[in-house]
Amino acid sequence: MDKEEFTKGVLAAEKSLYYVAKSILRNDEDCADAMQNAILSAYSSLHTLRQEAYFKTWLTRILINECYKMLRDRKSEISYEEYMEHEEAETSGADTGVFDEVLKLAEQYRVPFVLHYIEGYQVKEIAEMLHTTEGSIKTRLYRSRNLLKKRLKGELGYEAY
Amino acid sequence: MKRIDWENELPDVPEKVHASVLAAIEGLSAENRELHTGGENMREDNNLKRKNVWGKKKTLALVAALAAVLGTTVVGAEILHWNDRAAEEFDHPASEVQEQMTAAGVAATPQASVTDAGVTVTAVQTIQDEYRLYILLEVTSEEAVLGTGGFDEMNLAADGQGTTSDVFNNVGWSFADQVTENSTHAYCWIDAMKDHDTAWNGESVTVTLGTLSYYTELDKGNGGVAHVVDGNWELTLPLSDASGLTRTWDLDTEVMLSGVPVTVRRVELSPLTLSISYDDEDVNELVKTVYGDAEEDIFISEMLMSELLDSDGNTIEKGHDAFGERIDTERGEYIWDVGLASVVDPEKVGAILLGEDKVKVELP
Repeated sequence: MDKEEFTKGVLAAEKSLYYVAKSILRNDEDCADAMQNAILSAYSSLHTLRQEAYFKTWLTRILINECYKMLRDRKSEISYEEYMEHEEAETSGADTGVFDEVLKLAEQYRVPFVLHYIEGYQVKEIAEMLHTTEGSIKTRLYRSRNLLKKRLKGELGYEAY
Repeated sequence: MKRIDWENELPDVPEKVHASVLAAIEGLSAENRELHTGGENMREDNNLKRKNVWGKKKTLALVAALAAVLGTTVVGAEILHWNDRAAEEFDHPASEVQEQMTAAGVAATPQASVTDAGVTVTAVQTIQDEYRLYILLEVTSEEAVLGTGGFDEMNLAADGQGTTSDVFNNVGWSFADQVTENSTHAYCWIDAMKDHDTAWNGESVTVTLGTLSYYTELDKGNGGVAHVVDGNWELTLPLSDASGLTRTWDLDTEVMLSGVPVTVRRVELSPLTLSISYDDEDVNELVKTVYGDAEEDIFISEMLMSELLDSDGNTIEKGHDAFGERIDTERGEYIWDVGLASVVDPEKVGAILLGEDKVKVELP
């Protein structure tokens, strides 16, 4: 894959990358930093991409790693409560009602939710991305569905997704 | 009531985010070789309230079973205890259990070691049963490069051949402690469920780790600077046949789960693993009744273990997320596999409770 193909791949995946980054970091400025770092890191690690058909999955995995690194760094600087207050204030911007509700889920639920229901990754793929078991991902998807169902039904009149 | 149309619900990428992407693309050059995102090792926290209910008396049955596997009685042998960190990971099993599992070869302190690129990886503990393999590695380095990142690549080769997925599924690996500063010492665990279909009970496993990532300047609030140590660390560890420690209950017991009759066909319990088999048609009926048009990711919480009880009704193990599910089409069974958080004596289990409703299934 040359630079031009890499660039095309990145731009084609930009929306997906943003939604994944948003599900972890929630703050747009952090998302921008994480996506930038991930793109630079991915380009320098192109030799680790085994099949070009899986470019988006590979790049998403790099992005997830980058996002969690930033998240850990943020939490080490301020208390968790302060961090969450800051993040909730940041997410009340231009988001639509439904996506906003997704972002309100706890991190362990919203990340698999976005990866599966919005980005279409399979349970097995998500488990590999997050270095955990398929059973754990299924648990989180189950709980995120239930939580979201309650909120959407009550507030926005949605039935299912 | 309306359904979600995600196409219309998702926001556009903000202009400043798009600008960052374009800036990154414009900045791509050979100098970017210094950067590497690598592996962020996130350990799933089971949030279990662990307590050691394994008093001295309760060890005797497992000790006897292990002695049977070993073919000897155990009297005053100098058997090594587990690595302290490994024992902590499994809720500090009683000394007798540690000793006997080591004597039977299903727990070992290999002390096999390999050094590359200034990083030394030592296998300090393996623990296995028929369906699960746990490996604890102690990692040391000349420079402080350990803790903030992880190994990007990991392969388990059964008897030195093939890749992880040939024999194992649901594999996780991570540094054991999340830190914000690198050090020269860390523990790394590997936890893998063996594929039931392969029925592998081999003699060794070769662990191969590659590309260690770490981060510096985390205190500057910009996500830190990513670095990578290019290395290859390979260890071959001896294993043992652990099939003698599994207890199986063929039940064919009907229980009511969310008002639907479901037959529990079988329960298999090893010291580290639990499998519950259900009649597949009953499960389909449960899903249809309770969940309607379920997607492939549906999680049937009613069927998952919420507690294991001993014969006196005391809780031995409480509520654990599943490792994975599988279908045995030949037998018409739907099966949940669970990795236990502590070491359990299959001879001492009296009942299993299922789901949030804690439906009780006796294990005679």
